[in-house]
Amino acid sequence: MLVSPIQRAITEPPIVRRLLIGLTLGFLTLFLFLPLAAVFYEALRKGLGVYFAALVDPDAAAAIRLTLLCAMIAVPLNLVFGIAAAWAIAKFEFHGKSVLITLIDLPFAVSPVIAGLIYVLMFGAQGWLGPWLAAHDIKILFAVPGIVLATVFVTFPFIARELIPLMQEQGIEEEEAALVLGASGWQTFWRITLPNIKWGLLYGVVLCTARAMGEFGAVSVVSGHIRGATNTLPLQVEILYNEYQFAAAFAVASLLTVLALVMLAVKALIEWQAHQTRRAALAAKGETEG
Amino acid sequence: MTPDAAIRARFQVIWPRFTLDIDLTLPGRGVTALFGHSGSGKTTLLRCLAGLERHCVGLLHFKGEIWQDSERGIFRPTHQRPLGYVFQEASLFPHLSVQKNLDYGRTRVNHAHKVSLEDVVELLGIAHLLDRMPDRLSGGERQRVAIARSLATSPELLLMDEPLAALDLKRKNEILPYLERLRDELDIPVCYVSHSPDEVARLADHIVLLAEGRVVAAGGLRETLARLDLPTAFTEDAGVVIEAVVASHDEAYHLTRLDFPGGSVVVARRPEAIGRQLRFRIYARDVSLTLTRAEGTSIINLLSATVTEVADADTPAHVLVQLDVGGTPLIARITRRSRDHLHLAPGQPLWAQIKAVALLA
Repeated sequence: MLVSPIQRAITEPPIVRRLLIGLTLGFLTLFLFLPLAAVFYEALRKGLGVYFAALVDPDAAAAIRLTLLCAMIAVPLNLVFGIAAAWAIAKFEFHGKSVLITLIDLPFAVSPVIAGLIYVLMFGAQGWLGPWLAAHDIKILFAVPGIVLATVFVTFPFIARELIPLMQEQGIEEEEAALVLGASGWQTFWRITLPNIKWGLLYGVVLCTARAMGEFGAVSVVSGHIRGATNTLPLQVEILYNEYQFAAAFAVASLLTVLALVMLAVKALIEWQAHQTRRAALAAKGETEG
Repeated sequence: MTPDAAIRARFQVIWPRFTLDIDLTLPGRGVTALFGHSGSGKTTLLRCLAGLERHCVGLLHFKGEIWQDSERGIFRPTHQRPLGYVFQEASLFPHLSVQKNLDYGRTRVNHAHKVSLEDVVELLGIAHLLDRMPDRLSGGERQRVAIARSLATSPELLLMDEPLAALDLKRKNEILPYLERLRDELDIPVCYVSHSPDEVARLADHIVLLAEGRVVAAGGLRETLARLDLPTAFTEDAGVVIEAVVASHDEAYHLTRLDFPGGSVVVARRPEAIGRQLRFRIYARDVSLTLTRAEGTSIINLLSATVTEVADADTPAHVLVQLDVGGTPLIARITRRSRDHLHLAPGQPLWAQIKAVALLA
């Protein structure tokens, strides 16, 4: 690999380089690796028996099921929303587009607790729709629907945010080419648009899933903490911890951590795949035009 | 030509800084060049024909079918119009092989295939590329595949938006012969957007000159280019296009004689066989005039002509003189002083001189 003069000009002396790398590593060790290791250490300290007992506990199992259910509803919803929003923003011109982009970022800016409170305000007993819901015997707050809603709110920017720049960069040339070849809008989407955005889409889905499973604040407000019914994994960890069941709390936490790490690994794999595809394309281009 | 054999288009597009306002009848056969500088509205017009321009209001009749009639609320969406569209950039689908790119539109054509894929592949010389992915093609190959892909759908109208603009000169010359074959072998109307006079001269049968969203002139290529009343922007490069036949080769001097109605010219040896058709441009600036047949001159090409019109050119120093060479029009760019010196006026017989080295150079 060639080093251009510009690159050389900004390269620091070796001592500075080593210092910076050491600092980063030290920071990561102190604030990331150590706590992670502590989770697993604490979880397994009283032996494997206690560890697995904590995981098969009915309340813990219910929490696992609820967490997965929430993710399974929230992620597809946000997938549809994300594609629709990115499509509208990247391919059409309309008034208020920048406002829409800003609104999509809202869940990033708003504290999750506030997101939860919004739903309490809307669906709570004293809320706008509370009396009507009560009259019709529909439970949203302190029940699964509320938890799903809060999760959707907190995670909806993830896929849209990933797709918008990607689709903007790709423009509309290929879609127009498909149109003039006689493909309808729907056929164009399946055969042309989707293959073009698949890596970004997968990446967004993974991030969204990780966040949907890990969300605490918003879910905590709307869940009501009913054991075995409305506790997700993060809430279960909190309850166990507050009851001084440290081994069980860390066991459940370790499960959540493992889920997060799996998602991280999938994300890395997707990035690597997308990078390979891009490199192959670039190499081929250089070959034919060089 | 019967009225229903043609394309009738009346479009209006109004944007903050640009207005397209045209009313055109295009022939149902042959290549029509939409010619103009950047911003003249030629691409917008093409997109209106394809139905890709959302803000286009107006009327479009294609061979008796109504494709658009805004007053009656009729608009046939792009994917239901039997047309082919070649973009400036080839727009091949990067995740599909050349073969699959070609198949993409074909699977969607309802009527019985009129065009066989083999013919299209042969016409554009891409048989050896079928298994490749688009990113393994050169710019010229990519554009040929894009043209083949649009032809494979058996279009009834072919729209081409500067298909050579993104290519360098070498690739342009590699693809132009294919476009000439297309012109000669296709039986459908082709609208070809270009800002290159050379491409237009080589390919077009008809021409529509556009400036600032309006039609400045429209008609047969030869008649239109021979007009002197075009806006100055088009007279800088004034010249005519002549359709000639290769008459003979002079091997000793390495020259070729080209015959056209009303005369003949000699040019540097051409590779074409005797009897082949050949188009070439004669720029007005390469034509000089003399009242008597000059002797002792290096100029070989002397054509007997009659002045039909004299008009001002884009600079006050020059005038443009339209000549008739036995039925073939010619334009000469000379100085105003020469015009007065020779007392040029319509009806006057004289000799037009063209340097052989300026032709087909």
